[in-house]
Amino acid sequence: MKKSLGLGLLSLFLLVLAFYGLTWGGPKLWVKETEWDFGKIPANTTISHVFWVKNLGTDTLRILSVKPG
Amino acid sequence: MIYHASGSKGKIRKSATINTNDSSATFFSIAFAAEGVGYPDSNFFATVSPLNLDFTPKGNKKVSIAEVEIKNTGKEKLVVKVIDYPKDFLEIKLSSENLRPNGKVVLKARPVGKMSATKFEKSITLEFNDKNKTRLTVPAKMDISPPKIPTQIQKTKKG
Repeated sequence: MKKSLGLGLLSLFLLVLAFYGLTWGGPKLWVKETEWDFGKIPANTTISHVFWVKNLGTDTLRILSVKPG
Repeated sequence: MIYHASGSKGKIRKSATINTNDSSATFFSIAFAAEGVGYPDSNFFATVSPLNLDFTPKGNKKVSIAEVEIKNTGKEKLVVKVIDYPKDFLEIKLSSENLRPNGKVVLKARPVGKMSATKFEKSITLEFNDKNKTRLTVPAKMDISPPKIPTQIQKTKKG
């Protein structure tokens, strides 16, 4: 009884460890800001803003696609 | 994020969805908001002249410094600050942050740094200390495209 309980707990522990191993390791995205307000802009013009992205993870962060909306 | 406001007036909001290989942030969105205005804007407590900065050479004359004058047409004293500008492209200086009623300040901008590009379109955002924290964005551009050489049209003579 105690043996099976111990094995169960160990399995659960390993499962949790594996789960966190998947999420802790790898790239980790950090974005300084996700919205920017330009305020008033002249009509018929071009404006731009830089959104900074940082990788806080342990593996290469890849931007796979960008879809404007 | 670059946006071409082709004559759009009124509230504008655009966004982009980005897909990454970060398992905890596979998709995330960035967005911007703006208000396209005609000029003069009677709802605005300041006048801006010119509305944009253009460093494109005029003939053989280089534009090393461009200026924008901001005048307070309201009745309240204002404080204006530059909150965003392309540091890799422009060096800017605001003559003062304080704008008394009928007072004016001058924003000067000079191309610097990695200005080896022949063309850019950037923008400078100012923020006022009114109750709405009103912002104003001044576009800045330069285009030093090489001159186009006209193609010669060869006429064939019929003999």
